[in-house]
Amino acid sequence: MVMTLDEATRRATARQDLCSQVKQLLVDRLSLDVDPQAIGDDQPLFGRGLELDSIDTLELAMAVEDTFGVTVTDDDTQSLLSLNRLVDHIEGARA
Amino acid sequence: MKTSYTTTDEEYSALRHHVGLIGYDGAGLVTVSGPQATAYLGRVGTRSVDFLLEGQSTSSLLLREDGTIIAEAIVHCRGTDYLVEIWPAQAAEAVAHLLAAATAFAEVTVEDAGAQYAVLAVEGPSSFQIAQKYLDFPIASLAYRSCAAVEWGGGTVTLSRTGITGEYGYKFIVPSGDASRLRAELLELGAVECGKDALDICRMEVRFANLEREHTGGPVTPFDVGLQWMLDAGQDFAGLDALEESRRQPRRSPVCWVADAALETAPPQGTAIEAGDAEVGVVTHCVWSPTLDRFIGTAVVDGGVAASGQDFRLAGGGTAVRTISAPFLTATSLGLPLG
Repeated sequence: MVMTLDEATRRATARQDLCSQVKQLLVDRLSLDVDPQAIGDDQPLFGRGLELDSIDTLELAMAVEDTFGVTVTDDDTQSLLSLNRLVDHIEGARA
Repeated sequence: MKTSYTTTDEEYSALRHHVGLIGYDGAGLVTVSGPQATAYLGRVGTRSVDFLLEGQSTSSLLLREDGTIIAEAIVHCRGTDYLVEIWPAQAAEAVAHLLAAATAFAEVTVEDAGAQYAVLAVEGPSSFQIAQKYLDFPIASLAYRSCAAVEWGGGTVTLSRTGITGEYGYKFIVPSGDASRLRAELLELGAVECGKDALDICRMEVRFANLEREHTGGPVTPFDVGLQWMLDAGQDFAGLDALEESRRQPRRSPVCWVADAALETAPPQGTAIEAGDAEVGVVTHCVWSPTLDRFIGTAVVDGGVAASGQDFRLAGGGTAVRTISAPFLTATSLGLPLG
């Protein structure tokens, strides 16, 4: 069902707010030397992109659970392919 | 680079499920050496190379003074010098830009090495098995974004682990005179020649921006294609002032979208995207994804509606498109251990 402009705006506002929270969480908990707002929504988290490593994964999983009450397990690797994928995972678990 | 050698479907299948051979004919290659090499690369590129050790590689954007992108370059640190590699379509302007920028640095030597070397690559979930044959150490030790000098055929080849399909990928920078022999050898080892079209689909599926095709008719800034994360904070690179100004202006944001299965033809670049009756953006690029069995693409949309999970429609036919989170799919290699 195609959204109206109002629906699209309302939903985007909420989504962008959640993305911003996750970006800030990444920067704070992983002590990244980047401006949270410079992180792209579709930016990869590993390899090309934020270049996180496996130790960062553990810290990130704990941070997400502490902040959003959502677990990220070894089976959720596809949720770590980009910032947006991680936000999808959080949104889906909280729905 | 050729568009295709057989069919796009066959070549796509090789890249996603086996191993494809890519000939980067016309790739730009520039060597940078001298005491000011690091400072020079930190000025002409958006990312610092201060931290690069011998055998490591990184990617960096080359910008015009107005902040628009000339090219995305890969910088390989070879110990005694840096080797800068540029995608063929952007090579001519990028190489000229790099040579011109060197005049501002007294202690740097920048040379066009494009005629000296050729670039061949193998990409696909099985590509590491071929690359291993050229290494005298376990392939797993060659980390992503690293390179090694290997002896082959009486000469030295730079073998790097880089790629754009999301699959395992290895690139050979080989002396030009030996390129046809290496190409034949890689084919003999099972790689399938692939052209630009199949490569373009694969790179879209894993959201590697295609600067050749993803735009609305003119030059793009890093913000237009979601590459702002390649701008190192605190780095005084060419184009920075213009980008800082651009950052303050309202602009559309890049998103990924998947079309409804009913869409039968690719929407041209510039096709409007609507929410309700309002135009909220335009298509910037579109390909057919054989794996997803539908058209997928990128667009730029108004900042107020830019988000993953939005249900829009294309103007004209009215086909629904949903914005989604990159990457569009998970590369086959993700579940495969190296070695």
